[in-house]
Amino acid sequence: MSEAKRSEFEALVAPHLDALFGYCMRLARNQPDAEDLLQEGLYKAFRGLAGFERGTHFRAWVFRILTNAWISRVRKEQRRPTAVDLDAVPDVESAVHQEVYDAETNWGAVYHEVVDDEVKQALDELPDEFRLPLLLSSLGGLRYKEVAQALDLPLGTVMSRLFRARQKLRRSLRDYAAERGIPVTEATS
Amino acid sequence: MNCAEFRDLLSPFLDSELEVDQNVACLKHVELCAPCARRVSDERQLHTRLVDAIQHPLTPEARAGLLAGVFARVEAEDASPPPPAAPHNGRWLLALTLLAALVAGGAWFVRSDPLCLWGCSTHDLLLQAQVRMQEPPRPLDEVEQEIHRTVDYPELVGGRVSGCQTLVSEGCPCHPLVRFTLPDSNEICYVSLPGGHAHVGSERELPDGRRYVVGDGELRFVGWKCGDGSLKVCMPTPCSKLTDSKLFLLAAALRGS
Repeated sequence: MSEAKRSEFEALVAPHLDALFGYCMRLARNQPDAEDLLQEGLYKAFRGLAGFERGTHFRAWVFRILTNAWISRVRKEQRRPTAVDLDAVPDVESAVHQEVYDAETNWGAVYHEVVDDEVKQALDELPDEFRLPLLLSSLGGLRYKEVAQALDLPLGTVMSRLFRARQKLRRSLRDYAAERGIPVTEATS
Repeated sequence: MNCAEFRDLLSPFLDSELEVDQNVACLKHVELCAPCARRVSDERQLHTRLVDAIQHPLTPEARAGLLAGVFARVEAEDASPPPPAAPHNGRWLLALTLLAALVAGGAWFVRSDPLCLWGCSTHDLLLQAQVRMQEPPRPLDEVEQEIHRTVDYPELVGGRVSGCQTLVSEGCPCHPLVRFTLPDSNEICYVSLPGGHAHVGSERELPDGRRYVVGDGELRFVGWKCGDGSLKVCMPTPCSKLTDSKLFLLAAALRGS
């Protein structure tokens, strides 16, 4: 292993390590597994560095490698990503038109009052189909096209899953806040 | 831009994924519309709240240890001798791999449109359906007697079955096409084909994750793939005045019944 290659890799990966670790924490949901996953992903990235096109988005490339490492691990452990029961969703017409955004809710208060653990719990409760695009987009800062490449999904699917992921997250946070007795509805005059 | 149009673009607007002109239009709308401006503010707060909650900065020691672990693993692997070459002759393995790829490719091709086996295609039959819809319908029982089987079709509440037709290509199995007349006198047809969707339209996904297929170019239809691989299709008559959204809802109703 040449010193130059090692230095180049360190320089490329250093600015993204915190975000990558945050991503692994939310995938693996505990620190030892997250560290293990990150190390595995970084090892694969280092081994595959020759395949990285200089001048392209390194962050997207390394997030993609980590995502693949996670999917391989899930498969190896015979744990399939949480399945979405498509028949359990509302009927087509209401699914197209219904939008879960309640203008009566004081969302500012909800987001201010919920604690970090509740946000993490709401995120962890999302099926992988929704959690992965949301993490790659929000935490990883990847463009829709890059998320689509990382997850091998059509662009339109990524967009609809992001939309639904945010809807579900919003609903969960509002429920957590209401359960703790926080007034989530704006007082009407 | 009105509020509904803005809401359609909200996610890509927040994620800075819009083209410049669309972005400018959204910015103008937000400037003039207080409820949408508030919605944008709420969505941005959600994003910030999410990112803040899931940050996990690594300590300097953890960062150093992580990279050191990666480099140590690489060095250890590079220092160890390569594994001995496999004693078997690789030609058999290559031949078997090629054979498996050939079989898998053939299976995929047939699965994507099983009608190809009979020398026609789903696309051909749907084109033929458009032509048949211009002819007078035949009584359902007459067609059933001719093909010696019952024609299965879903109920369409508010519509009535106005007749039936058959789709036949040389050497191809016969497929009945059921025609429905709607209260507004427009007509649609329903047909179930064993083919896949690869050559006839584009597969799309609803916000709820369910998939459907829409026709491309000369073929106008809304369809859906079933678990058995069949493609159920809802088509308007060539002179129908049905809007795309109405057709979509009719197809959804047929699917749900």
